[in-house]
Amino acid sequence: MLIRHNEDDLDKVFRQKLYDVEEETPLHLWEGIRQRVPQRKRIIVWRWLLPLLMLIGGAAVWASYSYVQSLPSTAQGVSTAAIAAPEQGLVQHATLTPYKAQDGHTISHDDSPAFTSAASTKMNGAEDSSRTADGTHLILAGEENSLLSKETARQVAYTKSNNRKEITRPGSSSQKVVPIRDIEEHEPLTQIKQQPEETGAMDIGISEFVLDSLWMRYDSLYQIPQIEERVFAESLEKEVFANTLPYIASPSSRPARFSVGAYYTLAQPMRVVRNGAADAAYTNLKHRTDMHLAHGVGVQTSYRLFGNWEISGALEYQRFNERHRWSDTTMIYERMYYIGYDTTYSETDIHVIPVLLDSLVSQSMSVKEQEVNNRYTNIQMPLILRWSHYHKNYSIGLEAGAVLHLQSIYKGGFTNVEWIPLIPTNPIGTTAPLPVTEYQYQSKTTAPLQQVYKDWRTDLHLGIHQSYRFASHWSASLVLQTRMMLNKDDAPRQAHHRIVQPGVRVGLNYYIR
Amino acid sequence: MTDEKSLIEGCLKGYESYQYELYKRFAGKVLPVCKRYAGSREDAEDYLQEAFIKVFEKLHLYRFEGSLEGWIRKTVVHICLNKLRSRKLYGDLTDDFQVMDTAVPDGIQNMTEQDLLALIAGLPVGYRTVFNLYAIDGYDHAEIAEMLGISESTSRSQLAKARMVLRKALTEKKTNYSHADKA
Repeated sequence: MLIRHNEDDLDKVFRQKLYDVEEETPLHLWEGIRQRVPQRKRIIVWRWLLPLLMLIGGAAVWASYSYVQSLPSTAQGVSTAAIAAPEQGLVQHATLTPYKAQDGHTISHDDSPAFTSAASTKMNGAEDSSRTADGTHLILAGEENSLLSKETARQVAYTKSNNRKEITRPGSSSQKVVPIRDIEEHEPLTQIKQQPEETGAMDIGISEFVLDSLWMRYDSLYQIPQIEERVFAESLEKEVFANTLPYIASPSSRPARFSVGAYYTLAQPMRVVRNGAADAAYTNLKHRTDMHLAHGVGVQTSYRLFGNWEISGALEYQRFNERHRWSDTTMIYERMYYIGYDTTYSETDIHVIPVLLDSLVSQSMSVKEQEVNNRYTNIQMPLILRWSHYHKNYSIGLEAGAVLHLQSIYKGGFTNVEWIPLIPTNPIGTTAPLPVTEYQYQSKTTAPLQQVYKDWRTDLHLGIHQSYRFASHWSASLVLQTRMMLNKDDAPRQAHHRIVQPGVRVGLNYYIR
Repeated sequence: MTDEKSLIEGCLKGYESYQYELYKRFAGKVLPVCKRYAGSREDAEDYLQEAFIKVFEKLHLYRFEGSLEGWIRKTVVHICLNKLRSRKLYGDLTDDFQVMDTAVPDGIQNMTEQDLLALIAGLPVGYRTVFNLYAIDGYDHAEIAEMLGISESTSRSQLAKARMVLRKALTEKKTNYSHADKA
């Protein structure tokens, strides 16, 4: 503030009192400015980061599997495998001798009549799971006593090519080349070394198989599982064998048919106004709606119908708040529909502002504003049909469905804001009336929240579904979804509104076998 | 709270949230300035909108010399003067007045900001403009003369007239208050 010598005291008083004076600015002023200033929307990074990371991660997993599948095999055409199975006890190793398979490749097999019978039965029984990617039947050794014989899973192929042995992993057509010296480092696999190389087969036994499969669920195909102690392996296999075998032994990556689970949804409701809605009352209103994030929790169940198709039903409770403000105006203004993220009032609000104000209009802006707080509580029952592509433990797919929900709207916390005109007094003392230039701001809060509306609604549900099985019976899922209310909304003022809720859903499922 | 540099950079990039932050930070101070020059609330709000639009347009010219608030104030004052000029509100200013009294009427210290703003709003536009520029916003007569396209002596005489009218109004107001107290 400027200080002058020999300053008039009157000036000084006015400056002291008026230079730094502040006062509240009406809401509509900023609206007028923002419509005329070029703007760029700021993307809230965190809001998209998690789904984006999930998508990238999913794509990376997908790409890595595709890449491994596309790798050329060192044993061309040899995918026939001998299946190790216990005949007495869990750990048993068959003595295998060379065997001529249907496709003409030399593999190993148990030469006993029992084996021949079992192999014949297996081939005639022709479960898909006994057939490898290139159509060659798997040959089971001693399968009549083996749990493995029911869900063929383990393929261990041995071939001698350039001093390397080859192991084919279960449930995958990809193959891992392991140098002989690496295998020999694993002392527990003593039986392997006892096998004469000429037999052309290798049997590493059930315990290795169980552990191997366990590790491989978390590991990539680029590493051979590290089996450190045989004692540990044997004790562990007794614990996990019964539970994990049906899963890990399945060459199909599909989970069991039936699952139950729970989930949490986070969505951002948006009110969408239909263009050209003929509503006389509405044209004279300036609205602003702040819709807050919607949180929901639910329980779900799903059933795999056939192939990759699955149906899912759920019961969900969801709630979100909305702050709705409007002001009356007598001016005709151009209506513009604006949907998007707006950080004007908070990082989480989305405003749908169907009005364009300019400075001329603002001069005639109304002197009455109102604010209402709404709360939506929804009990939702989605019925969703889902198609998923399964690959190993990961699946990705699309889902669509209808959501029947009981919607309740609570209104309350009414804040009535009125601008009371102040009749100015003429400071110069003339009797001429002065125009009203000042308004006094008055507000009062009235009723508490009370239910004003309750009805059944139907939503359309669309989503991109991803899931990952992290244990034999458990999977976690993440869905990028959106739901759109199909019915006409009642608020505000019977306008033709829709509420769209894009969001994410994270869930946990338990597969029942 | 966003620091001033980030705020300006955000505004220059066109981010609405930063623009609103800048508006929120300074609009409360700018509106009374506009009211002082405009004389009515409606005009003041119009001026404020124009001023902020101009601020956002010209923000790249701000060189971080002096405070941002000072820069915005100057911009606002110029916008107000342009608006007044476009409406020919302060017309031809003359310098046919001599100043006598320099005393401050009693009771002015007890008056509210709104009272003082109402007093200023009651001044003729020419008086009001010069008084605002000189007495409150701190411009000297040479600057005012240049800004308004008048001579320095005209600026002085307009200021003196403004002071005289204000003193008269204040004295009458005090008299009215006294009568009201007695009644």
